[in-house]
Amino acid sequence: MDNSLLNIFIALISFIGVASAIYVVAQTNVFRAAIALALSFMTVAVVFFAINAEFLGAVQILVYIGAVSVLMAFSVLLVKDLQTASSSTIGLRFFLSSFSSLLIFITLVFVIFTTEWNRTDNISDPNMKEILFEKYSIDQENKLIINVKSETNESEIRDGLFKDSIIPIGSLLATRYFISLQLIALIIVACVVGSIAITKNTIENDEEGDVEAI
Amino acid sequence: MTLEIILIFSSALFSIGIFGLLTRKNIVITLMSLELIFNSVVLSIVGFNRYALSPLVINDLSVDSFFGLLSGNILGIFIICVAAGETALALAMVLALGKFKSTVELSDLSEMKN
Repeated sequence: MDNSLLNIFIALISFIGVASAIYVVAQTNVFRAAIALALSFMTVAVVFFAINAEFLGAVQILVYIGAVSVLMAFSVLLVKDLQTASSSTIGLRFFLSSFSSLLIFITLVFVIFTTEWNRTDNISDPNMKEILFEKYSIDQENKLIINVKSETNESEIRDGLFKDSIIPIGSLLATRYFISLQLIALIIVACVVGSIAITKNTIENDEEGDVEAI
Repeated sequence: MTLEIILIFSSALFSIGIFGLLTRKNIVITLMSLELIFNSVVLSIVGFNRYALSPLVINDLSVDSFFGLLSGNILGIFIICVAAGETALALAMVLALGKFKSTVELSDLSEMKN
């Protein structure tokens, strides 16, 4: 893996992402802002693919670009007067908020560069390195992760944890995080039922001609 | 160096989202800024999971804890799910507001005040 090439690629991609994010918050046309938001999400998904988190990149594209951005673009079409938003006026509020967000950014960058991270690229143990980045196999009897040797059966060999992360994520979701998965499903069902209830009430009142304030 | 680049990207997205939340008054653009913030959090979590792991986790090689090296990705999936649900609910509220009150500006919504 050529690391400096990856760094340059991620830096370029993140430049595009930051530019489109600035376009989102500066734009007065909401529809164009939704399109720029989709571009920003796409750059984040590309970074996910570049750092070997393929499953999360696919989820990002499906959920954020496919659902959230499109939903926002549709809400522009459904609501009257939403197309042109009021732009932010240059005043005390503007300067205060830009100052505070710049302060947050500078603080975060300072923390990023002064902290000693435990980097996975500098792992000294060669066995661990091989298991993480090359290949590994699972010993079912002793419940151990073992390195791939010459006599290991071909069907038991898996790619390293960071090379092929989809099988471990699937088994984690089905075993250790099963309760959390069910809870998340419950939350999403509640959200969907709530939003359907709100929108259905709107439509019914509209049909009766009763468009008074809530 | 890759971790630093990813974290700077993430913090830039975060501060842009904070800026949008503080300045804009349109509901949908405020929601978009919120989505930017959620996205930056997911990005930083996945970057940490890939490039910076605790040595306590790394030196444990049993089957049950080994896949736990990827729990950052799981956390990212959960955050994405909650953010998607929240967006659906908030956009339904935007639709109802546009229907009943004919406004999408946050400064016009002051029924609960006083």
